[in-house]
Parts: sequence; structure tokens; C-alpha cells
Amino acid sequence: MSAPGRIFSTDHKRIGLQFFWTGLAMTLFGALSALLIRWQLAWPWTSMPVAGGLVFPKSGGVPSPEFYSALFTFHGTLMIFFVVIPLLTGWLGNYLIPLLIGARDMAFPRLNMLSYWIMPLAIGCLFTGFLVEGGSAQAGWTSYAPLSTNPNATPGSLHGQSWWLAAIVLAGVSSTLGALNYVTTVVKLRARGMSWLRLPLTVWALFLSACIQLAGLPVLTAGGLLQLSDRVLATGFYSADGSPLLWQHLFWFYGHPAVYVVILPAMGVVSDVLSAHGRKSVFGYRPMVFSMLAITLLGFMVWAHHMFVSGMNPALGMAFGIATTLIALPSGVKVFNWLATIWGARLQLTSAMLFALGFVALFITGGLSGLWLACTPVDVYMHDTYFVVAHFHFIVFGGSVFGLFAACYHWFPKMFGRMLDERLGRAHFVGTFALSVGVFLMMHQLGLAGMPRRIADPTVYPSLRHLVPLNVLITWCALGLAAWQLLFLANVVWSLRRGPRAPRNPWRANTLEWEAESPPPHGNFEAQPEVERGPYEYDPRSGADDFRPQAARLSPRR
Amino acid sequence: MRALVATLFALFALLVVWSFVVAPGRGWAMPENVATLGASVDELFDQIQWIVGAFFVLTVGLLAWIVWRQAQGGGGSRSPISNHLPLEIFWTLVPGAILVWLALVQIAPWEALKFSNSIPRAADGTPKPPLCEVWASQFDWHVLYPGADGRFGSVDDLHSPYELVVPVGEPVVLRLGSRDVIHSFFVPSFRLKQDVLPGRATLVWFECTKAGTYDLMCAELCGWGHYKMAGAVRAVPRAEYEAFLAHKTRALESNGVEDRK
Amino acid sequence: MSVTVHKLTFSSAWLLALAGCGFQPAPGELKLALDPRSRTALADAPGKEQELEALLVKYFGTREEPRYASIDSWKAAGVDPNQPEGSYPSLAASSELYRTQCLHCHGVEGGGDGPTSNTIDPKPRDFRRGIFKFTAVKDKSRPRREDLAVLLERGVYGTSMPSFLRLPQPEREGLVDYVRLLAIRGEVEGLLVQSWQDDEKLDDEAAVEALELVWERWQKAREKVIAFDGPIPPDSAAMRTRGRELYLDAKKGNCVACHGTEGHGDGALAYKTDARGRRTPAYQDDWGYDIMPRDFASGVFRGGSRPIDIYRCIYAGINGTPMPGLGEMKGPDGELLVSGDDLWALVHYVRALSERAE
Repeated sequence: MSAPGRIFSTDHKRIGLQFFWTGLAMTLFGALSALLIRWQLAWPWTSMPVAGGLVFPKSGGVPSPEFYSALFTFHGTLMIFFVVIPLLTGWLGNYLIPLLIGARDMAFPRLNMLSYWIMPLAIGCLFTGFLVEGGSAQAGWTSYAPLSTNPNATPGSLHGQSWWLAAIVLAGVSSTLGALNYVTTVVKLRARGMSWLRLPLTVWALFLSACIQLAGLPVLTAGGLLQLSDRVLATGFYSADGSPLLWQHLFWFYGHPAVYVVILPAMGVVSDVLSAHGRKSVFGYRPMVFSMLAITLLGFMVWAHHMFVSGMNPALGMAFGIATTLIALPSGVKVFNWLATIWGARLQLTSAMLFALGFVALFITGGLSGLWLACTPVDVYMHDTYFVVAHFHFIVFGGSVFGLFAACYHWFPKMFGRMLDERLGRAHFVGTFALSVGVFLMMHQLGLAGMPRRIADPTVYPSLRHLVPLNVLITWCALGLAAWQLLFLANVVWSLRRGPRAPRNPWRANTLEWEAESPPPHGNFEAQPEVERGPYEYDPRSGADDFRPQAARLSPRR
Repeated sequence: MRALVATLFALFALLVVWSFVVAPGRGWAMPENVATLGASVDELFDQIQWIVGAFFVLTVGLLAWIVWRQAQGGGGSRSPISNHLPLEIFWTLVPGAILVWLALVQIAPWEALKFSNSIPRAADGTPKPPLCEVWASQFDWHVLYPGADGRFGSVDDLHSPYELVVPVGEPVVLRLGSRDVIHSFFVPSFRLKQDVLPGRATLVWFECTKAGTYDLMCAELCGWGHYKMAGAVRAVPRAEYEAFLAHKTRALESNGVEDRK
Repeated sequence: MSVTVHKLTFSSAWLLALAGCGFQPAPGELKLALDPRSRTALADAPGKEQELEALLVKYFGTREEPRYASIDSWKAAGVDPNQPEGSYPSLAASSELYRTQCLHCHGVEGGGDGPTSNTIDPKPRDFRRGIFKFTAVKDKSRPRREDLAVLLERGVYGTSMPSFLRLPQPEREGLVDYVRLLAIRGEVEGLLVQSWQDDEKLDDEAAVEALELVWERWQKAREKVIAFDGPIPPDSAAMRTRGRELYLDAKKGNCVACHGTEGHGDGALAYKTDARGRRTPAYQDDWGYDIMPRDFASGVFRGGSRPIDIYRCIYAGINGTPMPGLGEMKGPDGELLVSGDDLWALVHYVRALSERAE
């Protein structure tokens, strides 16, 4: 290929796969930190496996309380900024957008390459935090000031917090460059005949999430630089004499739309997978598009629902409470449309389909639990308890991660030219679904009972001591869930070399990427495709002839 | 596979419903509410539980059913219909109406909990002065009663580390402050939570209806000791409250002789 | 994969989980180590470190099984410090409670060097000198058990030491017993190192002697309580005026020299200024850390804010710090510098300085 080398390639597919492998590697660290958190919650102040012996030999392997803070800060930061967003936007966005719209590559290939290579720099900054005096950032992924700005407030705020800020700012730059590319590419490089309303929903989702990134990231970056300034230049933007609430507003102004960045691409993937593997069109294409548009726009008007009890003017709380309650509507509409999609379909229970169905079940759960949180008087109780943790893990794990798995099982053949083992994939689904429910369901009850977030030892409060068995159960399920993912890793590693070779269109799907070889060469298509229909023309009633590819037939179909 | 997956989703739905239904009996639910304003919170919670429960059972149940019928071998009918405007309107307007209702019904309780014009009034109609100041710091709750002169920060102030003693059955106003970072004053039994900011005084109010001792938790990450920043709210009859203040006032006059024993 | 295999996988997973019900991980092993100063002092003498450690284990037990060795003079007097009073937990149980509640700041041996201690200011207390700042006793005496119990109840307001009222009273008393053991162990360790340096003696005889000496110091505390006979003179404008006079008078209280004219802890003696005009704290406490005089205007009195608490600080000073005790200080004429009502005048003035402005 003509792209310069394999490491600094400007080919969107190679860059996408670079995001894939990096994201996968970061998942291991994110999962490890989660398991250590769960260990401490189930068996507080015992010798922690792996980390205990390495980091705390002088206290018998028992972690210090500030290490626990570092763990959940690391876990949240890693999972959001270095796992889910890079995988959904960096991997899927980069790999799929040109292919799905019929383009040869992204609009700005070199900018694209840069957007990847900033990530290892950002990751390096994040990990450097562990090596400096005081350890890594300990103020949570939300980094509220003055805990994060006052160096005496917690050891991580000595130096680690600055490295954290550098990592976030760099990750934000990477995402901004990527988003610029995605938006420009979708607007300018669609194949002939690919009108906006013929775009696969995955493209719509990636496009809208890129718009969110472009609008929101500058605010996070500015806010982060102000925090860095407070820490390094002794300014007082977020100090007690300044406004600690200012950080919260600036952070959440991006932080809330960010969760829509995290869920929209998964929603798009699920639509495409349910359709292709159910041999039936997505139900309500336009309402689906409008819902995603509504989510994108409304998503910028609800950020202060993270701040109902923060001390901000309660009138603001009322306004944001109303807006937050209403934003449930477009997501609900999408759920009904998904159900209508599979109603009357001919469901092939492939691994991809299973994860897409699992997404629907778990996203419904997470979305509905959000209704309690949107109700401001109820949120007064629920805020900063495990109920919130349950809510967002159902959405991020049950939603985004299940969407990522569905995407992987669906597009692995195209990306790597090999088929993943379906039996392993189905087993992977069953265990992951059951065990993730085991992990996250009872967190609702923990939160209802009053257990706050981010506490290293729930047995301090008399009213929480009876919750120990629940915490132990959750930890066991988490250990099982992590172990179960070996099925997926084994499948990927084995199939890369030994899986059966993939045909061009193993799923007999309509969208344009299936016109290309598996994997596509540099430039993607032998001939520039022309689009003559929408992406979802399937017919569940037919047998062999149940799909109509989007591309016009220029040569006999294979 | 079809049977397994459908069963999986059905069992999931049952498990979720079960976990919420049995929660109160097993201490997995909110502790007994002992504050007047908490009643509206619990009522809203219950109303939402019915709505959420209904939608959950409907959608996940439907999902399980559809998998059972539409997967290969399920015998469900195939139909390529991919749009139906009346249906879209229906499932936009009906949930929309419910959400609008939910958005409106939360306004009054929220006002009562947080708006400054909802602060309890003294007999003459002016806002009640704070009963005490609660100072949050890393990692302790420290309560300051104003003493006989009614002035905070004067030499007759009474200090109460850890324990906030309040009279039961009366509206109580507290002034919250932080000595360092953001903390959060959380009393689950009162359904009360308020972040405490450094450099700013924040008012909260409640009326406890049942004498007892209730956990006070910090609900905003404040550093490594966040997990152990426990306090206690002890609600006692007015006479006992006065006796508590009198005991602390007498301790101010101590000449140390009792320590000679 | 067939349904059967799925079901088998599941059942085995749940069986494993149920088997795990009995799973109870434990903390790793923790050892009561030597004070680094002891190590330095014994560095030239091979084998003496181990001997010292062995002696300490013999007379104070291990972290898991702390116990005082029963020495003859105690047996004769019927003293058994291993026996907890009433319903108080045993030393072993308190050691475990110390591990989860206190160790991460105060360290394994109570040296104030736990993992979290690095970034705390003021530093957690090093018990091993037996010096405690906020007590009811004078003459730099060891604290009474009650003093330590009050510290646990009240916390040290204005520092990272919280109130431990969330622990039931017997558990707090058990912690007092264990902290006392750590303190006595630390003092005995220091005396044994001294004994080696002076007389090259590091044996049972030296250990028993040291233990008896230290134990006696702790028992004597009961006789050193500072109290005022009669009701305390009440606060008044006249008292505060007199207090201010004494505060400013270089021949009487001379508080202004360290605490500053408005009590902000910024008196002339509080700082030393280097050649470039930069100010650093002039004083260090007995543990070697920089210390500033108290800023009364902050409204925070770490040792308690009752008049009697402040009286005790002024009367006996604060053990371990440069704060002198005025209560028994005599002038060049052999008369008490500040006494009786005058001490109370100072107390009332200092408390007045802590009042919030209107």
C-alpha cells in the first residue's frame, strides 16, 4: 500500500485497528482496577492480590485508603477516555465511516494519523501519574476542585493530578481531530446516491457523536487548562474564594454530552446488526434519525443534573430536572423501534445478534433507572450513591460495551478477513450477560440502602453493615465476568490466524462495506460504488434472495 | 439457543422485578423515612417505580417473547413492515405525556426541599435562625451550637464533634460549612443531602418525626478519608435537647477538679 | 454450543461461587519493626539490632499477639496490664482494630509514619517518645488513660485526627490500651538503645529496668492533673483588658512575642528571616517538624476550647512544643510570674481573640 509504512499509516483502516488494539490493552487495565476496587469492597483491608504485594509490602499487602481513590479515579478515567470513546469513535468511526459511505479514505488522512498517535502520549501521561510523588490522581474522574487543585487535599493532588489533566487534554485533542475528520468525511465524501436519508444508522450515530465532541471538547479543554493553571500558576479560578462550582459546570458541560458520545455509536451498531441479522429493515428509520438528533441537541441542555445538590441555585435544578426527564423520550422511542424491528423478523441468533439483543435489554434497564435520577427530589437521595453507579454501568457496560461486542462479532470478518468462532461467541454472550447482571443489578439496592460511592470501606457506617454479603456477591460475579472475557480474547487471538477465511459478505448484508474485500485493500473498493437504495432492504419472508445491497450492481453479485 | 436466550431475558426480567420487590424486607431499600419532607420523596419514588416497572416488564418481556417466536424454529410470522406513523406517534406521545407529568410533579417537592423561601419560619414569620453550624472537614463532622448568646463564633459556643443533636418534632435549620474541600451532608433517613462548599455557608432544613440516632454520611469525595467521615444525628425530645445543651454549658465551666479522680 | 454445555458451564460457575462463600482473605503479615533511629544507633554493632528486636518481642509481644511480659515487680504488686478492664477488648483485638483504623496514618509501631502520613499536615503523632501534646497533666508528664480516651472522643479539631465516637466506648478504651503499649514499647526501645550506647548493656536486666521506669512514668500521671480549686473567675471586659495587658507585657505573659499583636501566630519570634528576606518557621517541635504558634483568630483550639483546656495549655505549656508553661514559672525575684486570676485573665483574652468578627 502506498500509505507510509505500517506504523505511521494514514490509511483509516490501519488507524482504526491501532485504536482497536490500544483500546483492548487499556481495557485490561480498566478491568484490573475494577477488580481491585471490588476486592476492597468485599474484603476491606485484606491483602490485595497483585497490587498489594507490589505496592504495599510494608502494610502486609493491604492498600492505603488513598490508593483506593487512585483506583476508582483510574478506572473511570481509563474506561471513558481511553477505552469506550477510543473504541467507539477511534476504532469503529475510523474503520467504518469511509467504508459505509463508499469513500476511499477519510477527508484528512494525515490528521487522522496524528489523532491516533496523540493517544499513546496521553496514555503515557496518565500512567506517569503512578510514578510521581503522591501517586496518581485521586480526585475521581470528575476531579472536583478544590480536592483536585489543593496539593494538600490528597496525595494525588501533589503531582499526579497535573499528569491526569495533561492526559485528558491530549485525549481531547485526539478526539477533536478525529471528530473533525468524521464530520468532514460524512458531509463531503459520500458516494454518489448516498443521500443523508440513505446513510446506515451507524454512520448517523458516528456523525452525531462527532458533532457532540466538536461542540463539547473545547469546554472541557478550557476547564482543564484552568485547573492546571490553578495548580501550577496559583490562580484561583476554582478555589474557595473563586468558584468550585465553575469547574463542575465546565466539566459536566462536556461530561454529560460525552455519555451520548459513548452510547450513540453503540445504538447505531445495534440498529444495523438487528437489521442485518434479523433480515428485516430497521423500523422507523426517520424517527430513529430524529431521535438521535434530539439526543444530540437535548444532550447539551441537561448537564447540571449532575449538580442538583451541588449548591447551585435550585431554580437551575428545577430547569435541568425538567429537561432531564424529557430527554428520556427519544431513547424510549428508539427502544420501541428496535422492538418493532425484530417483531416479524427472521432472527439469526449469531453472536453479533445476541449482543445486540442484550444491548436492548440492558439499555432499557439502565435508561429506566435514570428516571428516578431525573426526578430532582429523588435524586437528592440517590446522588453519589451506588444507585447512580448501577445506572451508568448498565448503560456503559450493558449498552456501549455490548454494542462494541456486537460490532466486533459483526465486522471482524471484514476487518481481519477471518470468521470468529460462533460457538465461543454465543457462550461468551450468555456468560457476559448473566454475570454483568450479577455485578450491576444489586448495585441499585446498595444505593437505595444508602451506600455512598467512592468509599473504601462500607462497614464504617452501622446502617450499611448488613450489605456486606451483597458486596461479596457482586465481587464474585465481577471476578467471573472478567474471567469469562477470556473466551472472547481466545476467540480473537485464535481466529486471527486460524479462523476460517471470511467471504466478502458473510452476513449477506446490504451496506457498502460488504462490497469490498475482507479485509479491504488501501482505497477500499475496486470501483467507486454508486448507491441506489437505502441500507435496510431486507425481506424476512424470503429465503435465499432476502436482501438488496445498497450499491448499484455494476458486475454480477458474488 | 432460542430457548436459552428467551429464557435468559425472561429470567432477567423476573430477577430485576424480584430484587426491587423484596428489597424493603431485606434492608436493601431506603431506610425508614423520619422526616416530614421525606414523605414526598418516597411518594415520588413509588410512583416512578410503578411506571418504570410497567415499562420494564412490557419491553423486556416483549423482547423475550419476540426472541422466542422470531428466532429460527420459533414459528413466528414474518413481516417486512418497517414504518407505521400512527404507531410512532402513539409511542412518542404516550411516554411523552407520562414524562411531562413526571417533570411537573417534581417541582413542588423540590421547591419545598431547596428553595430559600421554603426555609422554616419562626413565630414572627422571619426565617428561623440556624440551630447550629455543621463544619465539615477532612475527615470529620464538627457541630457548633451558638450557646446562650445565640451568636456563632463567640466564647460561649458549644462544640460537639461527630454528633449532631436536634430536637425531634420541630423544624430545624442548619448552617453548613466546609473547612477545606467540598463535602456533602447526607442523612439517608431524612432523605436529605446537600453539598458543602468551602468559602460558602449553605442552609438545610428538616423536621424529624421520630426520636432516634441516624447515620450522617459524607456523600462527596473529599480525599482519602471520605469513607470514614461518619457522623450521627440524634433526634431527642425538646427537654432532652435542652439537657444536652445544659450539660455542654456546664462543661464549659469545668475547673478540672473532676479529673483528679 | 449446545444448551447442555451452556447449562453445565453455568452450574459449575455457580458451584464455584457457592464454594467461595467460605472464602475469607486476610491481611498479610505485619511486623513491629525498630525505630530507624535505633537502627542508626546500632549500625556499628553487628547482631545488636536482632537482639533489640528479640527483647522487644519478649517484653511486648508481636503485632498479632501484643502482650506485656509479666515482670516480677508487677507480679508482686498484682499489676497485670494484659488484663483489659471490664468489657474492653483484648490487646490482640485492639491491635487488629488499630490496623484498620489507625495504622495508615500512625504507622505499624505508632511512629506517625504510616503510608498516608506523608501528605498530612500536621503529621500524625509519633507515640514512641511518650510525648502527647493535649493532656490534663503538667510537668511534661505522660498522659493519663483518660487523656488518651478524650483524644479519641473529641479528635484533634483542626487536624486530620477525627473524633472516634463512631466506635463504641469499649473499643475506644481498647485502642487506648494498645496505643499505650506502643508508646511504652517505643520509650523502652529508646532507653535500651541508650543503655547500649552508655554501658554496652542490652539484656533482660536492662529491659526490665527500662520497663519499670517507663511504667512508673505513666502511673505518675494521675498525680499531675492540673485543676483550679474553686469556680473559675468569669469572663468580663475587665478580665479581657487585664489579659491583654499580660499578653503584651514582656515581663509577664509575653505572648505577643510568638503569637503576634492580634493573636495570628505571627509574632516576631515565630519566624526566622534569611539573608534574602525569606521567612521560615523559627521553631521545631520535639519531633523535628516546623511549628508555628497558634493563630487564635482561626477559632480552632486543637486541645479543646473550654476555658479549662486553655488554662491547662497556659499553665503547663504544651508538651513537645516550644509553648512554655506559665503556671509555675518564677521570676528573678522568686515570685510566680503569672498566677491565680491573672492566668484566667489570659485565658479569657485568648478566647476573646478567637471570636468571629460580627
